[in-house]
Amino acid sequence: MSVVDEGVPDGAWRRVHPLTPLFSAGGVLFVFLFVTFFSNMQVAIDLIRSGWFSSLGVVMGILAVLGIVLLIAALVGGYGYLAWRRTMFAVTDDAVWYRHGIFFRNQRHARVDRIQSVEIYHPLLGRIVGVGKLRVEVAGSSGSSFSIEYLRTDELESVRHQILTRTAGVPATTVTSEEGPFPKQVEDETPLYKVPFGRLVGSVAFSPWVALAVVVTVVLFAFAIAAVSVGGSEMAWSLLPAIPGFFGALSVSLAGLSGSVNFRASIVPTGIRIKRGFANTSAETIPPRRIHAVEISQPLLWRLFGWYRVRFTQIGGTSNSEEKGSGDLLLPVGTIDQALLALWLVVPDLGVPNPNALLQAALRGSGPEQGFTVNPRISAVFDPLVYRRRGVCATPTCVIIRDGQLNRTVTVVPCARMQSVGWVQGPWQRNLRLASLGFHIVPGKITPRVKHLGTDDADRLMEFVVDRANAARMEEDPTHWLARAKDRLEADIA
Amino acid sequence: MRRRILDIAFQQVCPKLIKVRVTIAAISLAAVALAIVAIALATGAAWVWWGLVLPGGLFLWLMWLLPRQVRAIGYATTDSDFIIRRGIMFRKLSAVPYGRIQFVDVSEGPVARSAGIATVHLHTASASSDAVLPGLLTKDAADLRELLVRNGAGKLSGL
Repeated sequence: MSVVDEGVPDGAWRRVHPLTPLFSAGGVLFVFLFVTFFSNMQVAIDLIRSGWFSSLGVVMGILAVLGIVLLIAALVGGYGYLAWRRTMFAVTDDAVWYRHGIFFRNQRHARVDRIQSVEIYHPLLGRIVGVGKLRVEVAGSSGSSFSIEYLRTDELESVRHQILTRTAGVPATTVTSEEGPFPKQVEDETPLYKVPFGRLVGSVAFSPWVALAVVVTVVLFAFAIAAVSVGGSEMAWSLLPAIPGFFGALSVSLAGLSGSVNFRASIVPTGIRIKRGFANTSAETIPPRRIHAVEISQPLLWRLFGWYRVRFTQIGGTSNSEEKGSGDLLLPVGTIDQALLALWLVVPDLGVPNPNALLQAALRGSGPEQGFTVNPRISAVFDPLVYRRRGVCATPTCVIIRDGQLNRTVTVVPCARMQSVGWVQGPWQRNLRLASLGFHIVPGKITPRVKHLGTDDADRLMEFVVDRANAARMEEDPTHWLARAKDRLEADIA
Repeated sequence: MRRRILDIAFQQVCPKLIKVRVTIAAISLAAVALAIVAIALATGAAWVWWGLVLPGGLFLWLMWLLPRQVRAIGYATTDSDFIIRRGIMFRKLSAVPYGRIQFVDVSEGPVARSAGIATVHLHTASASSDAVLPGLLTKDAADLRELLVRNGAGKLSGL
């Protein structure tokens, strides 16, 4: 018995349905045989036509064919049997276990308190025979869920029940997918902010890519005009390169617009509700606890108007918000007050006595004011422009990362949401005694990390953040989110 | 009392991992070498034989690199976190709090199994955590899993 077989009391292991290999490998195997058969038809025909085959006689010929078929069947069956023997699952008091593999053995276990959902899934063929698989969903990146396959339908129900009764102790904040086809209409909705159309158009017009495209187009036009004036009208073809640039800028702007038209945010008891679109309105409710990072950014030209954009990364957000680039926006464009309100909704406590001064330093500042740890001078070798601004401030509740010289960004990661912390050092960095820190959160567009810190600072920060990440999630009070938000809004109005 | 993360004495993984990795490299490079020999025999072109320098050189380089890589892998457990260190050129250190571990994979390939070692992979909700610890004696792997399950349950927290 090797290590992948241990950890489960004897007798707890249960086997899956004996037809499993047929189902799991069935499709592939069938296609493989089919392809092999037809691609080798010519060989078979040649063989049949050959003297050797006809010398065998009809009976022996059929026997030979049968023999080959039986041999293949035995090989496949033997492999299938071994695979089935190795595939087992167990439901113990604190975990669900699944193991499989003949040569490359794997055993996976998911603690019951980590399980997000248990679903029963019947493939078409399985429905006919009455077997299906049990999909155990655990929070995490792709490949984090696993299927126990295949079980008889009644067994599926009982195993699912077994797992769910053990997960019943899960905190109420765990989101279940049992909302039903018609989610209850929430009457209690408090509006927060909306994005006026004019400002949205302006924000796109002054976004870096559009600005760049405009500059390039203008330069090309200037060259073309110069060429025409020097070389005559036949030089007008030099205008051609400007055309794709123009359309590129246009398509980028339209894409930026479409996801954020008529953007409205409000709070409802379950979280922040975001509605967008004119004709086909989409509404999405984001529980604040599911948000793992917030990023406030300000492209260069937005500084003229004091506009900011707020993005977030939420758990399980990558799969369903990928269709639009704007699926992770908390505020497509807004004033500083709106941006700070959006941030506050998710991270109410920055963990410092004077949060406003801290945020000012984060949004506009540079240098070590307000407790920011900045890049040492030597890191100018890597980043001559950004090193002055880049900095990180670790408070008891969150990590605030300041980055970007032209396109300013401020990323806030609550310590309570941090999954792990990584310290990385490349060869050049080691020569200069620098290291980068990564704060690992759920997958999404925001990747919180600080490059090129001094090694001593990086060590100290890592130590501090890991400690805080452990402590913060113990202290956290998940309830009263709505009450808190309401209080603040009423105070604002008063 | 918990020690400072960066002062912690790291535990090295089992040196058998060197043998396992070299064996795997040897097997795959031998396959490449065989393919080159087959091509050389089939085409009869003399220069094809020079192709053997590639897998040979690669193998010598790996013979030098793999032991160093394996010796650079270290792990440590504090009372709240699991810490993995690796890399020589690009050094990496990851600290994974027990309470954040979603699930644990223990796996072993055919070569590793014959050497009696296994790989433990900790998964958190983040894809960047990347906490893979190869080269544990099967007994240590089982102990580690026990520790993770026990600590994970004790220090349980939601996402």
